[in-house]
Order: sequence, then C-alpha cells, then structure tokens
Amino acid sequence: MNEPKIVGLGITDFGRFPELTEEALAQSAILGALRDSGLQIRDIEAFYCGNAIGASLPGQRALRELHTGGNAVYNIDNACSSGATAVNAALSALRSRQYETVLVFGMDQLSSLGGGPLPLSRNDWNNKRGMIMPALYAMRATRYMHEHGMEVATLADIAVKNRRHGLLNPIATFCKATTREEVLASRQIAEPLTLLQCCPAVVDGAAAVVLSTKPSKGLSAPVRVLASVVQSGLFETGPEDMIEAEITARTARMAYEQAGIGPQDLSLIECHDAFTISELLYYEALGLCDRGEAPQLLASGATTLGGRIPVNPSGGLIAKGHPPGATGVAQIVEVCEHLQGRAGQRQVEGARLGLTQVTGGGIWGVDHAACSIHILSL
Amino acid sequence: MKLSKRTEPHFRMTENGMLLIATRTVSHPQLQFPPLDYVHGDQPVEEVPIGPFGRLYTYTVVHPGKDSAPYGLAMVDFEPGVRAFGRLICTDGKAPAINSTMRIVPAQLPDGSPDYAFEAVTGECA
Repeated sequence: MNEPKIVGLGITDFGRFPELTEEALAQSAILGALRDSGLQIRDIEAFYCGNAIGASLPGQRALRELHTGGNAVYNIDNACSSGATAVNAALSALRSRQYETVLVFGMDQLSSLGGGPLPLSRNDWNNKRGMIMPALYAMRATRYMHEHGMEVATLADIAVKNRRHGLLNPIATFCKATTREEVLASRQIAEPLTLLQCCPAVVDGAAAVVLSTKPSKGLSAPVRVLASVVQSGLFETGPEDMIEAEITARTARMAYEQAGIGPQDLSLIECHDAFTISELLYYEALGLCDRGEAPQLLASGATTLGGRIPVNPSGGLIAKGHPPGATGVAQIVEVCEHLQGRAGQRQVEGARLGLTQVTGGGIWGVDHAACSIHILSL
Repeated sequence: MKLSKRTEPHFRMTENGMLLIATRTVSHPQLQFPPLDYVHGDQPVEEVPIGPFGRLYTYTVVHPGKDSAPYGLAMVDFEPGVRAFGRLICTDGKAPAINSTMRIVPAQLPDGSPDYAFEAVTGECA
C-alpha cells in the first residue's frame, strides 16, 4: 500500500461573515483544496466532515450543491477536536485500503450564535452551576500562578505574541496588534483571563485537505503524516492535577512514538490556544520544557517566529478565532504550508517537521474530553 | 433491561453543617461526586457523605457581562479523595486564597431548586 499523503489544501478567511453560511464557507475550502490537489470532486471517494456547532448532517448540507455523486459522507463531532478527529478517521480508511482518495473538511459558523462563550450542554452538572470554557481555563491559570509563581503579565504575553504572528496571516481577518497593557486592561471574562486572552468568540471559517494514496497531481509537494493520534479524557473524580494537561501529554507521547521523533526534532507547532494559559500548559505537555518552565520558555523567545520552536505561527486561535469544527483542519493546513514553503511572511525557515494539537471539552469529570495530535513532514 | 434512576439528594443537612453525598460501587470503588445518576442491574450503590470542610484547590470569578452579576466558581478537595465543583461565595467580592478551608453551604440553582455552594471559613481571604 502506498502511504497516504496530504495532496491538497483549502482554507477560507476566518472572520465574522453573518451573511454567509457554514455550508458556503465549507464549499469555498473544499473547492480550494480540490484546485490545490489537481483533482475533481468526482475523484473523491469519501468525505469526512468535522462540525461541532451546526445542525444535523453537516457534511451533506455542505456538499449537496457540489454534486459529489453520492459517495459516503462521515460526520464527526468531537467538540473542538472534530476536524482533526475527522482527519484521523480518514487516514484509517486510507490505510485499510477502503479508499484511495478522500477529502476532509471542518466548518463552523459562530456568528449565527450572537456571541459569548461556546454553547455547552445545559444538562451537564458543572454547566448547570455556571461552568463555561473560559472559567475552566481560568481555574487552571489560577492554580498555575499559585504553584509556579507566574505573573498575570506572562499570560498577556501569549496574547501579544500570537496576535503579532496573526498580523502576518492574511486569513486572520480579526487580528489586531496589542500590547501587554491592553491585554490586561481589557474586560474581565473569568479572572485572571481578560477578553484579549480568549480566542474571539464570534468567528466563522472552514478548512479542507485532500488525502490520497495515489501519486500527487497537486500544486505543491505532498505532505506525509508521520503520526495521527486521537485520545479521550479519563474520568476523573478525585484530586487530580488540573495543570498537567494529562490527555495532551498522553497523546503526544503516542504521537512521538508513532513518528519516531521527539519534541526536540520539531520545527513548528500549532496548538489549541483557546486561552492564553492553554498554550503555556501545552508547552509542558508537549515536552518543549519541564513542568513549571513554560513562562521561561515563552520569555526566551523560543516559541516566537524566528525562535527555536515557533508555536502558533498562524496566530493560533487567539488571533484567527476558533470555529471549532474547522480548527483542527486549519492547523494542519497551516503546518503543511510551512513544510511546503508557501506560508508567506510568517514562513518558518527550513521547516521540516510540524505538530498540530487540538483538544475538546465541556463536560464534567472529563475536562479535556478529546485530544488529536498530528505530526507532519515532507 | 434493569436501569433505575437514583432519586436520593446530593446533599444532606446535619448538626455539623451541610454534607455532599458521593457514591461508589464494587465495580467502581473510586468515590464520585456528583453521585451516580443511574444504576444498572441490581448493583448496590454506597453513599458516602463528604464534608463539611474541604480545601480550596482553585477558583475563578466569572464576569458574564454588564447585565449579570459576577459569580465565583471553585474546585474544592474533600477527604477521602473527592474533588467537587460548585459555586463559590465571595465575601465583599473577594475570593478566598487557594488552600483556604471551605465549608459547604446551602444555595440554589438558577431554576430555584436547592443546591450547595462553597464558602471560606471566616478569616481566610485572598
């Protein structure tokens, strides 16, 4: 069997487009990925759709006007990890020879919700008592500051760095430059997290990739998937360590083993910086530094563009926004563009190996319910 | 199929204060709070009261916007090895310090049904 590779990329602008629909956004990303792959829609044997917020049958809704010929559509909801989980499922199908060429897309339109944090299940024990995603991460930040003596200014510095990166990314239409002082002075959301420490809540977008075991006809070099791992959260009811990011550490260990590499080999990372504290926790969980050393790693400049291991060169969720169904696929598009040398002004020079990490949560007892990690190379 | 919904309350008032009710089963001996909602088959469910005092693991104060008042949320650790999530009562708008001794106090859910919250034992503010 030939190795499945990513042979086409498509992505929309990420921004507020209330006049559009998630279906229209997805179609734009799908058509872009097909153009990039040199393939027609009839060449695609199956479609995998990641969608977290929309109504039922999202894939079929997006595809019906593209005249697919009726091939299989797999709809996957794994909260913010939906798109990356769809990529994992598609790879499994290619590796089992069920298909030779498939297309994965992720989409969500949050502007239709009118703002505020991501909607969570109202029947959930925690959510009934006022839990929202920013609050969960705020509690992690509070504990991290307590255990490691981190200043709140360090949290703000993540927001400043990622928005600086996002200014170089043409799809990050919401992104504006900011300062540490502006971040800290912005409206409180869940202490110590302020508005500018949270990814924008009302952002729409879609992304798509074509994967194939056939020789590429694409415009750019095909990208290998050295690791693709999806894990679920452990049910925790005891006094667990909330700042360990256990599921990400576990998924990363499996991904590094699958790829035969370590964190020191990576050229860049796109991680799930839904909130500033998230990125710091993931530095440690992904093995970029030891426990409690994330603030020092950030301060060293290592994770900034031009540094040893740039994290979120796209600007991440904080700069681009976070349509959850799309995010995992968008991260993969971003890393592919760097590996292929077509990331424009934000290009990580000499990028050889890139990692994407995205989690999904929002239910009690399993704070991080899903995590997907991919490691990519040419 | 034998599947029954537990109807016992998740808290209990005692002379020493309010307690939360955790549960465990033979197949899952780790205490859990909130308690089991449903029981499969005839499996006995053991109720274990926790509280009235715990230790504050972490907290936040949520600011929902200009039309709603801020509210506190907390994770509180209880012996023997249970972490409970709930509303945090902030006296004079001030959250308690991490590791403060907390007690369980009566509160209401937004729909008016009886519930619990956490409050620092006097004198332990951040």
